[in-house]
Amino acid sequence: MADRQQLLIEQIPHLRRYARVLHAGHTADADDLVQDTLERAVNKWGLWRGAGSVRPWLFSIMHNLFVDQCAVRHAQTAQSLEDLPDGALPMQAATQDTRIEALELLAALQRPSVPLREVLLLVAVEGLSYAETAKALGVPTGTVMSRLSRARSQLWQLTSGEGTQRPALRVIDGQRSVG
Amino acid sequence: MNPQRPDRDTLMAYADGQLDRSRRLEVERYLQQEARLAVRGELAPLRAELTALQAQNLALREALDPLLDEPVPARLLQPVTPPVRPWARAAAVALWIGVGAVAGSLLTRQSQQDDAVVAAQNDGMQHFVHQAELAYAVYTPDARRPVEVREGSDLTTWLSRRLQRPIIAPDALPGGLVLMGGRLLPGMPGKPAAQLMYQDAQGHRVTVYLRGMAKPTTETAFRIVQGKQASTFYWVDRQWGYALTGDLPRAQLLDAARALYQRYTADDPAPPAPTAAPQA
Repeated sequence: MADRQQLLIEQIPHLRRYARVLHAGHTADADDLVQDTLERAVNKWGLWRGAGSVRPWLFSIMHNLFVDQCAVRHAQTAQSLEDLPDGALPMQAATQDTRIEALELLAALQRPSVPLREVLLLVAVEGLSYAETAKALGVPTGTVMSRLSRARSQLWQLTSGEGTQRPALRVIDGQRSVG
Repeated sequence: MNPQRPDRDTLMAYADGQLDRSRRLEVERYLQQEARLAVRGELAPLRAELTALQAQNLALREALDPLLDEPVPARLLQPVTPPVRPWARAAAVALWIGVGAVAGSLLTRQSQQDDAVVAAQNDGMQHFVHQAELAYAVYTPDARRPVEVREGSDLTTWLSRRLQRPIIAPDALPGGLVLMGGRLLPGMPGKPAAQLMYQDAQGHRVTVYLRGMAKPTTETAFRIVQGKQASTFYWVDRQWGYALTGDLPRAQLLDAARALYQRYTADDPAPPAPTAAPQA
């Protein structure tokens, strides 16, 4: 009981961050999603069986809830997450000393579609393995990698010319096309 | 045998720390070979791409990590937190005051899970204690203006309004410590903290530093940190951190801290009943 409580409370800041990335900075919507996720996690606690870290499991719950909500909200317009509009708001960072580069990156992060943002957050920021990410999102590992690659290219394009060295993205071995 | 040039996915997986040991070493061998052949003073192409990948990962983490430090809204704790009986919490703290003083230890926790929570919160705690020590070191030596507002009802009204919670400033604490007054200080980003100052008949000054914390705690614990100039007793109760800093014998500081804790928990619906508190 106390065990579950502590495990979940520790994860709340991570869940809020993921929700914020999903909801493109809309804090209230994001926190609603966190609340729904926690409630479902408490109710379905038995399904987690203590296998591996609890965080990927919570992320998968959140992802599925988000997909369900989007399906309801965008039933008439959007056919998939790919079709969701770009985030309207820049993600707010609470700290005052956030650097300009970080603010620009946060703004740029709103541009890629939700599935691309998700893999960036889960792999590059949360440090999940490709396999954990694939499981959380319910897609093959290869899809995770191709989305990652596309997400990174888009971010580079959006933040290029800002003094950071941009890689020669299309000069690889020629076996794979980018994007 | 020359190492295989890693393809794009392999390089990305390497940057993301996803490769097993043998494939990792293979990539590193290629990078070394590439570096040997590279034009002097120029970054070899694969190394350049790897650097860019790693830089992007780092930039993303730096941009998004501050989100983790934001205070958690209370409503998000409700789904996971069973209602806590105030007397149980008070009794637990009373026990910690005793155990902490006897053992003189920073960490004596009940279980591994507790340790994990402590580890996650340690950074925030260290920052909190550092702020409390700094506030003590800056303002207690001041002969002319040690406090911003002298004791009186104005003081607590003002601090309570600014911190948006009731601030209690007992007129006196054990050991002959008498309230001098207090001041407002920076706390968490964009949020204020309060400092109260006490003085005994010999002129020893003790400060109380109080502010909201980034992360809530599920369990209140009582700790001591021995600084160069002074010792700090501190505890976190739900979303609020309390620190008592002074250059006085530990037992005397403990008495003062305990009295302060009891004043702050006396506001709970059910009064604390720490009758079984061990002796310090």
